[in-house]
Amino acid sequence: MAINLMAPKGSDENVKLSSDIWNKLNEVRAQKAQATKKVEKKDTSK
Amino acid sequence: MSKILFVNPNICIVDREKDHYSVMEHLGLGLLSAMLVGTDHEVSILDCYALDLENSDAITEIKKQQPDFLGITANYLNFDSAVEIARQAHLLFPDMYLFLGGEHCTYSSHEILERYTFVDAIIRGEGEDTLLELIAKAPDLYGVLGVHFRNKTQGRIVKNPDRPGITNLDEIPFANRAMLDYCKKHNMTTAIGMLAQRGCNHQCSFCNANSFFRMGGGLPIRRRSPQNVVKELAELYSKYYLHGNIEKVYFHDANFIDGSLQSKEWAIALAQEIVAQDVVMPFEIYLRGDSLKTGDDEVVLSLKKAGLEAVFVGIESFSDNDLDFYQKDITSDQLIEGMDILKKHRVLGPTAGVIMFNPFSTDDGLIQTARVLSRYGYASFWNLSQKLQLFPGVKLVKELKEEKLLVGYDSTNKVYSYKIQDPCIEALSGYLLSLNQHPTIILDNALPRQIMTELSRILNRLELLQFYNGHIDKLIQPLQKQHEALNALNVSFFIDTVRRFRSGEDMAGVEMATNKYLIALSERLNFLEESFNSTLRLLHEHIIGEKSSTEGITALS
Repeated sequence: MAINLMAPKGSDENVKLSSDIWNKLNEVRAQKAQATKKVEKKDTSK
Repeated sequence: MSKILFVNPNICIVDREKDHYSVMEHLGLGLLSAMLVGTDHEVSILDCYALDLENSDAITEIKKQQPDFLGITANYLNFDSAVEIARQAHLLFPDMYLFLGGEHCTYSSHEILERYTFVDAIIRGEGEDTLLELIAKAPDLYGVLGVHFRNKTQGRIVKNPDRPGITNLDEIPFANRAMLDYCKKHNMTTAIGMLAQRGCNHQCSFCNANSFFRMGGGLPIRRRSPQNVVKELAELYSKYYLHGNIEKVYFHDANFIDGSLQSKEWAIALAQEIVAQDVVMPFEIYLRGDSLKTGDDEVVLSLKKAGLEAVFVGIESFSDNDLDFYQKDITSDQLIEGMDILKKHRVLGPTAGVIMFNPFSTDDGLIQTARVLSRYGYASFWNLSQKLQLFPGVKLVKELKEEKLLVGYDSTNKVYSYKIQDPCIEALSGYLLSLNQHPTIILDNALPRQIMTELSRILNRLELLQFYNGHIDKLIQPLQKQHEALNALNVSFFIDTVRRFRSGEDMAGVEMATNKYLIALSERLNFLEESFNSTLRLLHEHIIGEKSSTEGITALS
């Protein structure tokens, strides 16, 4: 078994779409994490 | 005090312009050099592969540094470069102590020392403790476990006994990440290498994973504690991942989960610790087909929460006869069960380990494997044409030599050659391999992997954010259908070609059918790419557009 490492990079349009999607997903993840922390903080201050 | 330079030579056969993966540091050299960091010695790494440097660049660096010790790691892909660098370095600095290491050199140590008289020693097996002793005692290495060396005064080659593996892996220093520092400084995208366990408790006949890490005896598998692994991950997370430009973490453990309850509990504990320490990074692991069984969802889900995005499975074959020949200690049913759970959780990696042809391949075995591979999207032409490679040291080399089935040593690929017993299958295998350099076949090996990997990454992230729903299933359906059709085309051509060879059809007929297939394959790949483009646009609209599913979260923040 040998592993062929070659693969294309993807078209410019796809790279742009993909990059937009990932930026959004990362942003949402950060917001979710922030929201969770706020809830946790609220819980501990009760 | 000594000056030590480690070199990882470049691989000449990979077209770097088309290399999809980002720079991967050489973890082995990172681990070895870490043993010398903080001592009186001066140590550095020149990773020609990661930095895409020529052999001449390595020589320039050697001239500049003039090290006392030159350690070169070599595998079957970069061995010729290693020899070239060593030869030139020796001509320039005959007193420099020159040693090699790595799996390939471990199992070819005698042949290398006999053939290349400028090589002074080879470190065999696990290298950390052996390296320290070698630096302290060279050139008199009598009694140093784990070395095969040249006694220059007596003109003899001496093989010392093997060294038992390090019992407590938590005591080993974290790898030297000089390459990651370099990449960070130069804004290069990097992959991170990790090793959480050493060894494998299976003894497959084509693989050295079991014997390499227990050459001097000891346990088949040694594990670092989850806390120790996560401590290293936490350093990597804050120092490199948060900086950006990290592709993912690759765990190089031969079999991340060995199927035992203890192993599954260890994996869950590791995953929980990663989440608890808030150091989640995307990562990829290697598994066997029977690492997981139906009902092991908790293991997969825990690992996914911790960042697992892809699993490379050593499938090899779906034929029970072939699996027995490889001494895989697994049945095709067990393999399918394990693959199904990974497929269900969308963590099957972009490709898998496949060995279609071996000395005893049969039509039925080949056809069975091809058909089942397509269920998992792994029926690329490249996979369907793969032949067993016999690396130095594997059990099969000894077994086939005894049966007089080896026909020589392929000095280009550094593997042993053999003849397939059925002449018809031998001819078929040769024919299929000869097509591997066709541009359409190269694209077939690359494009679907890139597309399906990107899709899985996005879907898994949506799932983790709890935005995955039936609507997304509908959006991606056309793309999945295109991928299935592509696999079906490859399998259909493969089975058709097996039958043509068996029926003794003349080569003109075979070639005509191949040309027809290549045209159809090119069309299918275009359809797949177009379908991916539209799927990406739909996902973009769904995730980012005005009525996006992610908008709700904005209200929370």
